[in-house]
Amino acid sequence: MSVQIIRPGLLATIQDLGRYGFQQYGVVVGGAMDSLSLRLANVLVGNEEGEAAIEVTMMGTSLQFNEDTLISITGGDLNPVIDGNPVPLWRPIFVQKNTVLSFTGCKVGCRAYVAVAGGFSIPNVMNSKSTYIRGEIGGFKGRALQEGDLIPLGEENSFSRKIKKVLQSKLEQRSFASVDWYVPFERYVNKSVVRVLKGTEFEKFSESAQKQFFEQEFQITPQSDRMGYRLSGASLGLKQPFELLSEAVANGTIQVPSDGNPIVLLADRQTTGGYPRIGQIAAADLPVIAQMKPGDCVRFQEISLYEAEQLYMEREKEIKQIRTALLLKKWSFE
Amino acid sequence: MIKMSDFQEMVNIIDRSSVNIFTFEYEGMKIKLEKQPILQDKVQKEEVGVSVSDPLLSNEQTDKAAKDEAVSKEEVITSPMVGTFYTRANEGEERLVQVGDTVQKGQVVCIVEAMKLFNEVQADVDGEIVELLVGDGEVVEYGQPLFKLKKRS
Repeated sequence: MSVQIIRPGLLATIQDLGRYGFQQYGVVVGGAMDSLSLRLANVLVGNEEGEAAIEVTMMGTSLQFNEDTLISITGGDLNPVIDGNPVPLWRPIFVQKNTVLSFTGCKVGCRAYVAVAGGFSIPNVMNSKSTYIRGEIGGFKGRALQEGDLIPLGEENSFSRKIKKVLQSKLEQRSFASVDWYVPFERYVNKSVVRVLKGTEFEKFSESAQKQFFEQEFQITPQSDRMGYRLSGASLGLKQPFELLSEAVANGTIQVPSDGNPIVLLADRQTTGGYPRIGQIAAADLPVIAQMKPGDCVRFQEISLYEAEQLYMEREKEIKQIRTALLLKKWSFE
Repeated sequence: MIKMSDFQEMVNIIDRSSVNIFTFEYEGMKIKLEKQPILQDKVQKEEVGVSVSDPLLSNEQTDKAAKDEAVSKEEVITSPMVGTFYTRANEGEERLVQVGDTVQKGQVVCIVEAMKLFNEVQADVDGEIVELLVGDGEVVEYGQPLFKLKKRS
């Protein structure tokens, strides 16, 4: 079983939850920009949460499934269609052999995740299947997907087979079938407010910069990619210039170079940075920023570390509930 | 900037007033509050007559007659499970259906959430929505009527 890339579109890569454990050697973590959507995409088809999926960016990607396959699409609504019919997001979908799935444009958000039951049968590089394009490691041959690529699929488990069988019987005349339920996560995709903790060097910024950071809107510039988003808006100055030794940076760290325009570090961020850090995006809101695209405007809302931890725990609880609910669905299929 | 406490006060004032829709714009921020007139409808109906709307309380004979008459004109869409009732597919979206809308068999009319899964409830006949029997966010039981529907003849 395999998936064939008919058209790669703007950018399509294989991503999982990232390459952890090697940052001390300077190895970039990478992984899905919107890890929440990746995890849910996998859960919906019966995979482990951290299985690799295809991250589709904005538009133009077309995939063909060479066998009957159970898939799910989560994340941004990039208008996925099969034979001209819109395909629903956030639920398991059965696709018939030789069906072509195309992403025809950005309706909401920026990145969609296509998970397949059984995952992709590609080698792990340093414990991860994530593609790190700049380093040419991981994923499918260490690069973005290209026309004609044939990505082999892994073995489906019993849960996947069960849903597949049930959906297959619902096909009727169409080449895909789905269920009448979904996970309610679209609300995270279309937001413009991101919750942020004060960064380590927050107090070193001028008073007006501190104020503007939480009050003004910043626009995501076209010089943005999986490594980070460059923002434009108010120029954020320091009280007085100072030198900083490079330190570890994290997903969602907001640093400000001397030109005063903030940079949000994301999935493919470098491991260390030497610019003053004005903020750190709360883990629960990383999917929100990951779904924004160049031209979108973002506003930062201050929260405390305690609040950020609460949001994180609530999110994890929610995902756990979904896993349980899906298990119950499995039984109801029996 | 507007504070959360200001906003709460605003909601409270609107809540107590006779205003049904309220829009507020300030420094690029837009807030829209909308009350649900359907709920008032429901309260009135309950006051008018419990015996007619609740078949368990009336005697069998009139119950059967009333039911026969009702079925010929009105259908009820019931909840397929225990869960939380929503009129919107996702937060911030338009309602799936409004009173007065015509729906087709198989059309999704509302959502019942159970354990973070949103389950779509479909109309089982073609018809017109005449009444919404449950408020947004209310917990519904298995088999509880959600909508009254006038069957298209």
